[in-house]
Amino acid sequence: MAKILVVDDEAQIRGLLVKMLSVEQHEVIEAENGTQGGEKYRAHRPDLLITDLVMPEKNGIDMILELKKEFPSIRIVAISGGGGITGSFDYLPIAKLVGALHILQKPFSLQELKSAVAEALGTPGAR
Amino acid sequence: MGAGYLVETAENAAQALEKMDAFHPEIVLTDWVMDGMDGLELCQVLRQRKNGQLLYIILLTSHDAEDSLVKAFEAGTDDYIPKPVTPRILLARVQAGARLVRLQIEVEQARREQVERARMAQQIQRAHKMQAIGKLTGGIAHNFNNHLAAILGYAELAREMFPGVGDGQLDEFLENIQQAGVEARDLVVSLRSFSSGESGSCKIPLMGVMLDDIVRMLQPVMTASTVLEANFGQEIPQVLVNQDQIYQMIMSLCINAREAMDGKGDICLHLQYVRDVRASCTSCHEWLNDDFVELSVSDNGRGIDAETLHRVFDPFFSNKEVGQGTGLGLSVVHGIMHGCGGHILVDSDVGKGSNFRLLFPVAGEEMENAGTGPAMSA
Repeated sequence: MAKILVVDDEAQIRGLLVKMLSVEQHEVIEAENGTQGGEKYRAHRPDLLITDLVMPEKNGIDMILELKKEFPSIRIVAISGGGGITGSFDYLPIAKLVGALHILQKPFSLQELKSAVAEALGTPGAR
Repeated sequence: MGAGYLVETAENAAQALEKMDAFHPEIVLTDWVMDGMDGLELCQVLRQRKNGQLLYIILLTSHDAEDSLVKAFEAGTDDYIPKPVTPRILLARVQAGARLVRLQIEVEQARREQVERARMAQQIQRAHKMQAIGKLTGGIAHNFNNHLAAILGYAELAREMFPGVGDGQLDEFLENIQQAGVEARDLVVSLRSFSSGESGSCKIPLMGVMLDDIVRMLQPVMTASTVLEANFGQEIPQVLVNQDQIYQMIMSLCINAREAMDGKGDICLHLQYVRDVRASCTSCHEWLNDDFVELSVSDNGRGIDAETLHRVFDPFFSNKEVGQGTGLGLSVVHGIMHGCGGHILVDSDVGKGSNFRLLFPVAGEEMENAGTGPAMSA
């Protein structure tokens, strides 16, 4: 069981992730965008950050870059529908470049999420 | 003659015709009465040969009766100088002719420029359209994936958390939701490969053997009266491709070809190295001037008219009946080819057939060019 912060602007996706992770007995904290995600990460210091990338206010990439500076061993799984809201640019490979341990393309299966979470949590790193 | 003109002379009409091809005059001064072919006949021959091209013909004549002159103008003469010819009048008439020729050249040049501008504007407009569609489909794909994540995720969760509810009926319903969700996901993958031109990660050299395998796999998809011919024997430079994408593209093109022939005819696949391709890409409209490895799929079906050809790469454009095709086949081909730095040329004749030519950039040359770059002079 681990403490996991889920950041996604879509309430449905957050709800889904909370349910999926709760089945695995994880404690889940939610945030709606990058700004909130950063604040909640600092406040709760979770074991894992699962974040969407294209979000209003502050996007996932900027949040990852900020948190990575403050917490170099932060464990991150990035999720995205691929492409941007207004274009075809794909942020997932960028997330991997800036420090996400795993990237998941939406829609993903329960099994894919479970494996990504397990592997990320198994990766050595300090909080 | 002096006066700044470049002059060539000929003793008779036959000699004049012989010299025409090498000299390319803009003004011809000819006598009417000559041995062999006369000036009027020469005039007629020149008008036929120089079909539409610039040529100002001045006839030197002592036949200045009205009927004769009308005959001369009908034969294609632009002006005449009555004999005896004085140098001043000759020069004045030639200068008048030269003025007209210059004017004609300017008009012709302006017309050409206008046609070229119109062609460029149309090309830019089409390229913008493809870019805009790419952006739009990228946005749609992003939003759909978010919704699909919820649909598929909750269905999966429900099956996992509440198995066997309602004598297993719930399981069945949820499975149906998942199946539809997966189909929608595949559709989004196709859309995305149009918008981002994803090239896939695993690349291997394109070879005839690979294509032979693909053709073998495709045989069952073809009807009994479709002949699938393949010619992959030729040596080609190295091209790196994703095998799945090659399969996907050939399959799309072959199925389209089959439909275009109403299931009866010949589909021909051909792999070759083409040098010095100078043409405008049919889908992105970029002007090409390079060597490529070409993989073509041609058919002798009903062909595509020019108007339709401008739209065939648009997502969801389909000639098939509703429900018969996704309208994404050629959009995916566009996405894959441009994702790997390639282009597409389509030759099509209504009633005769179409040839879809996939142009792949040559891997080796690309690397060489990247290494050396163009020479700079100090």
